[in-house]
Amino acid sequence: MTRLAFHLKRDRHFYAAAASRIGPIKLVGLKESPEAIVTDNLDSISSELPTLLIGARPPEDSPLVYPALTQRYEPEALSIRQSLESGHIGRPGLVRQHAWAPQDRAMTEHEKIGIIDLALWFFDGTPEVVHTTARHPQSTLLHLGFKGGGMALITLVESLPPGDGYRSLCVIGSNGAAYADDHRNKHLLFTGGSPRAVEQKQRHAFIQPMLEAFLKDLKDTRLSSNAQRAYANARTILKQTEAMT
Amino acid sequence: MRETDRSKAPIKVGVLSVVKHDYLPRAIAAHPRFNLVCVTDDANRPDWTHERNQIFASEFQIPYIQDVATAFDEYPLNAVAVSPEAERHCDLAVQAAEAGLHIVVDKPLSTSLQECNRLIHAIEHNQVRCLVWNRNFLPALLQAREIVESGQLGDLISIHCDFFFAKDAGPPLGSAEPGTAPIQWLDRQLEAHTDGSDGGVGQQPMGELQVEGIYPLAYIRMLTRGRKVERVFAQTTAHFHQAHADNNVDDLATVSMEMEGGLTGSLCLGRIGAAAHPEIGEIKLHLVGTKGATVISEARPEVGLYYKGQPPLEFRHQRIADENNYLLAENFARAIDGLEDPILDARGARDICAIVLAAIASGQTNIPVDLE
Repeated sequence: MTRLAFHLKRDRHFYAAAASRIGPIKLVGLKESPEAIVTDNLDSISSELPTLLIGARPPEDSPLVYPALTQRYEPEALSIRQSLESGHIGRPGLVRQHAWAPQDRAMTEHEKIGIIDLALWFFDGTPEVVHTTARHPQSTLLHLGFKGGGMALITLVESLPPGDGYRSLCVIGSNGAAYADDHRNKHLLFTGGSPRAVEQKQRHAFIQPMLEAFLKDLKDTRLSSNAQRAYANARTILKQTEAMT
Repeated sequence: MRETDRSKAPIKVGVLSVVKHDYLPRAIAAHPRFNLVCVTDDANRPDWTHERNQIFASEFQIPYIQDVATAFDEYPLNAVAVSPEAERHCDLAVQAAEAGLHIVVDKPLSTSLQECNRLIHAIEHNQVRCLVWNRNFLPALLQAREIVESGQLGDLISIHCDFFFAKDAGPPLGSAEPGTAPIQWLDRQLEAHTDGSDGGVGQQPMGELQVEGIYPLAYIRMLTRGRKVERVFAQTTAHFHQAHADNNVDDLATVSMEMEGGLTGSLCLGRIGAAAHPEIGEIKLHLVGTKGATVISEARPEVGLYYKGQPPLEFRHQRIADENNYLLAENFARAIDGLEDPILDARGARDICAIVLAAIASGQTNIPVDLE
């Protein structure tokens, strides 16, 4: 049983609900001798306890902080990763992502890092080639080349009208392919005139697998440096991209 | 599109070689304004060429003339349907233009800019019309064009085409035993004729950028009203098929494009294998403008068909209401009548050839390539 403290400004009840489905967790307060912390608040980072940090960049010299790469735990990403690990779709050749945000809710640095990390995670490596095309301030095209010929193309757009964003993720492997996008996962809502495309809500589906992975890291005494390195690699690419534009 | 005047005399068409998939001359034959008159090709072609030409001629009950000049002299042709190996497209089309014949030619126009330029000169000098085969009249493309032209998206900021083509191409990469001789390109293409995956037939090996790249690039060209591509950066590899690896050509590619007027474009393209999709492939357009954006699936409308005993290579999803071939033939007829321009002419196809060549060069060097 792991004594876990949540110190969250947002979505606490979703985290608590997810934790209740995981056997070996006891939720405790920060002052009740937790063994680990989950927080979205930089002020809550402990120098003595492992901390899963949501939605923010880990401070330097914080060896016990695990930056949460939340996008790895979205259901479609997990499914694709499992297909790669099982060998079903073979060796990854191309990762294609479109990430569009409305102009009144620009993507945070953390979100962009998560998107880039996803490509790196599927390839299990860092790119040898990084190229950026950004001819409009709200549109960036990121082009990555990996050892062995793998490639990723990521479109980041922040010009949509106010409303929902859009995500699309394709992974083309040597034996098959995986396609996940909001185009497929929409419902139609008829209220007169043309129907609206309604997003299938799964916004909090990442929480439980993310907590499970964090607990497993703790159990296996896996170092936070792995997660920090992954985060730093993706951030380095983002900074390269920004420097090129 | 308005119909051409059906009361006009039929346009007499010579089939100028028909050695790969024969959809082009079939589409022309199916249109009421055109009559196929003969098949012709150069006499010095290999036997397999003559065999395929003869099969087509026999089916349509028209003569096969083993000499192009003789066919042009002896038959009162108005136009030709050119469908030989890609490396011969321009050469045969130039002969037709010099004879004053209008041209509908299979894609890609060529893999050589010099050949494209030679054809453009011949077309313009002889004042004939030339349509290069494409898929710009697919229902989803017509809808995409309508959305762009309606102004709902505002000014385009970026345009992206993901074009994953779910076909096989012989043995998978890595399946060859050590010491096995490299696959000969032409041998593989001749073998592929049975399943229609021989778009790269010819002596010269062609990667997927060269074989299929014209389709998505023609979409982008049409939807941006012909904006020029100024610079490309590409990654290319042979990821799936032994024939592509053995012949040092791509079967998977990504291309970033800097376009005229501050527009960003991209293309993802691959021959990703039949197992990788229930239809001909995952083909999508993502268009982003200053006021809105749209995601278009090129395959729509479609119907999903699944049944016991279904052949493994039969598409589970089948396109419906696809009038692309008819509308291309209609466009060709209207171009010949002087009523409109071909939806993709030789100049447009030449520009696409230049983008493809630049992308291949960039993929080999990891360096962006500027287009003139």
